[in-house]
Parts: sequence; C-alpha cells; structure tokens
Amino acid sequence: MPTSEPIAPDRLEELLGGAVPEGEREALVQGLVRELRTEAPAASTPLRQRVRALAEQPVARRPALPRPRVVLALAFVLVAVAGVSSAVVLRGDGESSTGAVPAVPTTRDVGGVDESAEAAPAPATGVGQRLDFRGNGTAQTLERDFQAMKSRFSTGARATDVALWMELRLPGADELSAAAAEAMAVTRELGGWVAASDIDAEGNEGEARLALRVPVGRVEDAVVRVGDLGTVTGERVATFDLQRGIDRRNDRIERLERAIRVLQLRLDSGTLTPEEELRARLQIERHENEIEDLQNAIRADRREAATSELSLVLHTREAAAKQEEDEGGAAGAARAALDFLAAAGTIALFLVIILSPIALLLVLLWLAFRARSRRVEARLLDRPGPASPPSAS
Amino acid sequence: MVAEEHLNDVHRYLLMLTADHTLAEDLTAETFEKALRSWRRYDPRRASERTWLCCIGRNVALDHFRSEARRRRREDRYAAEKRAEEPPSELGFSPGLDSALATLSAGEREVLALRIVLDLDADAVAGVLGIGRSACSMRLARALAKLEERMASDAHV
Repeated sequence: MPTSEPIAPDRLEELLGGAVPEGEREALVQGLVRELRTEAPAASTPLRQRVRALAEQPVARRPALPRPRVVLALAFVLVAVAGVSSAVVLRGDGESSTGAVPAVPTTRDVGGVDESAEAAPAPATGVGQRLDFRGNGTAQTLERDFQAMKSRFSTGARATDVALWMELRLPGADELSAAAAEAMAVTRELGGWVAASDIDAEGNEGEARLALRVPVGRVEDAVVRVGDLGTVTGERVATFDLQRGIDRRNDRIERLERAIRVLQLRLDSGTLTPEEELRARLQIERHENEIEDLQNAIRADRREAATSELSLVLHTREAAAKQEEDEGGAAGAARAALDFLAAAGTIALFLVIILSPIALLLVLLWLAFRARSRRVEARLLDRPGPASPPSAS
Repeated sequence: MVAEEHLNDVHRYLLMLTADHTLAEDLTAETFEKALRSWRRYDPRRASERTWLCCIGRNVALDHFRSEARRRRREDRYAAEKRAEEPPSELGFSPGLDSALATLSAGEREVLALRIVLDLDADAVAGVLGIGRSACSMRLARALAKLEERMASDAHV
C-alpha cells in the first residue's frame, strides 16, 4: 500500500492537462507523466513489418454476426408479426364459414353483422352445427338464412334435432304481450305446443321468453310468421345429428335379439339342467328389458327429431338495438379496430407473461456471467511483474 | 493506413500491460489480426479507432492470461518444484521507472498506459476497462501514488 495519499482525481486531471504544479510532489508526478509519455518505446521494425504483412493479406471474412440492436429490432418485429397473425387467425376463426361438417358446433356471421357470443345449450349427444346471426333483419332474410342453413346442413332422412333461437325487438310492452300471444297461437296452429313461457312486462319495458316446439315440417312457416311479429335482432340455428345414436341402439337391439334366440333354442332343446335353465331365463329377461329401454330411447329421439325447438326472446331494448343499428360505416370500423386491438393486446400480454420469466432468467444469467468475468479479470490483472499470471484459480 | 497509425499506441499499451517485450509484440500482432478481420464491425460513433483497438488488445491479453493461468495450474499439478521468478522486463523507460513499474500490478500499469502513455480521455479509458469514470480516476491516482512511492524508495536505496 502506498504511504503517500493519492493526489485528488480532479487535481490529477488538471495536472495531466498541463496545469502548473503546486509543490514538489505535483512536480514529481508531472515529471513521471512526462517521462511516461515521451519515453514510451515505439514498436520495433520487425513488429511493424509483421503488422504490415497482416494488413496486406486478404482477409478471410467470416459471416458478420448481426448487431444487438438489429437483433432486438428483429425480435420486436417477429413478436409483433406473431401477435398480429395470431389476432388475425383468432378473428378468422370466429368468422370462418361452416362449410364442412365440424366435430363441434361452429358459428358463422351472417350478413357481416356482429357475431353472437352466446352459446346455445348443446344436446349431450350427436354431432352438431350452428349458424349464428345477430342484427336487424326481416322475416324474409330470416327465412333465407334458414334455407341456407338447411341446404348446407341437409341430413336427408336422418333423424336430426333442429334448435332455433330468435330475438325480436318490439316497440313497447303492449306489443310485446300481443306478440307473445300471437307466437303461441301460431305454434299451436302449426301443430306444435308451448313448452315454456316467461313474460315479464313493467311499464313500457318488458321481455318475454318462449320455448316453442314446432313440427319439423312446419318450422319454415313458424320462422316466417314469428319473424313478422317484430324486428329480428338475433337468430341462431343449430342442428344436431341424432341418427348416429339411433343406429347404435338399433345395432345393440339386433345383437340382443340374436342372443335371445340362441338362449331360447337352448331352452327348447331340453338339455339344460334346472340351474342352467333358470340362468338362461333370467338372461333372456335382462335382454328383453334392455331392448325395451333402447326402443324407448329411440322413440324419444325420433320424437325429438319430429319437432324443432324454437326459443323466442321478445324484448323492448331500444337503446341497445339502436346502438346496433348505428353500427355501420365509421362506427363499425372503429369497433372492428378496437376488437382487433383488444385481441392483439391480449396476445401481447400473454406473450409478456410467458416470456418475461425467461427474459428475467437470461438477464440474471448474463449479470452473473459478467460479474464472474469481472472477478476473473481483476484477479488476472492484480499481480505485479511481467506477464505470468497467478497460478491460483 | 490505420494499422500503422495506431501500432505504436497498441504496442505501448500491451507492453505496459504485460511488461514483456516479446509477449507484447505477439499480442499486438494478434490484436491487429483480429481487428483487420472484424473491421466491418467497427462503429466510429461508439469509440475512436484507438479505443476500439485497445479494447481488442485488452481482450487478447486477458485471453492470453487466462490460458497462461490454466497452463500454470496444469504444470503445478505435475511439477512440485517451484519455478524461478522471472526477472523484471525492461520496458524502455529509465531504469528507476522500469523497476518501479515492474512492482505495479498489471491493472495499475494498464490504467497508466491508457490514460498517460496513450493519453486517452477518462471516458474512453473507463469504457475500455469496463468501469465507471470516477473509479477509473481513482485507480489512476492510486497507481501514480504507488509508482511515485516506489520510485522514492528506490532513490533512497
């Protein structure tokens, strides 16, 4: 350790800059500095020639690594592109057409109007397809959409459960009550029945929910006539294939009937012991019971397929409907842009949540590596004498 | 030519750092070899050519020190006898200054070389050493004080 105190760094900077020394010590330091500057040895001629030769050699260029700033920019662009692509894909999924038969219910936005986020309760069995529509419509457009759905999802003679959901806007509570009564009357007139009804009117506001069962052959009439009762603000048509379950049950019935015939033949042969005979009779009884259950289930499915459920919502929500009416032009575009930004933001947030721990870990690793390098460097340089580094690790 | 222009500076720096003429020449040549190979990556907005070359020289020297340390460890493992201390190398200054410099650590000689011999400004030196400006100034002041003290004690002897 030096016994003399170091000169203050600021003063030392001044001395290095050529300030007049104050006192003997500063003069000594300045002398040292001068000697170091003026008497430092120059490179020898062999070294000069060696470096010159190096400079004259053609340099074998290695592919340049991208700079960190470029890498960061590229990473940012990639993340942005990934986010936008995901948003577009997600949005595309919501708008995609249900041309093929999907394994799960899918939705289609009809007429470019807002797609509904509401989900109809799906039956427990069967392959289903769904067509969504929300917005102002008329009975004609509704019927056209229904026809489009029918042709698209046509199942021929197969047993199919068709579920329709319609939302109608009415100007007031009186009209709402009258429309509900008319809908129920139409249903009965077409050979159907009202499964449930809930009418709630207060002042000039109100809402009615009707569950109508209409014979499959009269659904189109029902859609048109019910649709005429008010302004259609939403529609959803869902079909569920019941035939697969029926076919499966029929197969099972055939197998059970064959088993019964075999058991009956064994009983008729008279070769069975009393115990075996009892067991065979019990088995036949079990099979017959199961056949009966299966037939009941098939009948239930066929009954289900014979009528369609029309869920009707009548309401007087003017403000919401008006807002939807206004959705066009600039407002619609703004809403679409907001939707897009929301989706992009969600994805960006997701990426941040997923990537931030990894980034944090990398930063910590980098800091630890840098600290270690610094320590090693300090140890290597903290030694007196010529270029032999300390042997201690 | 850039190599010729800065050759003396790089060599002086590495000579001060290593305190070994032969090694300093080898490391200088290696430094320029690396610099010429990666010349396209040099960004004049970030540092002067001299500072950039000193950074490369420093990395080359540290790599050498590391490999030397590994070699020493290997040798120590197999040879129990202690090596004779290497005699201090003459750096080309006056004998008193040479011997005083030989007692400084490589880190201390390094800061003297960069800040005084090469006359780089404080910010550039701090950048090369990877430390802050004030730490760099303090390191220089301590190195000079130590050098001054060693020279004074040599003079008394």
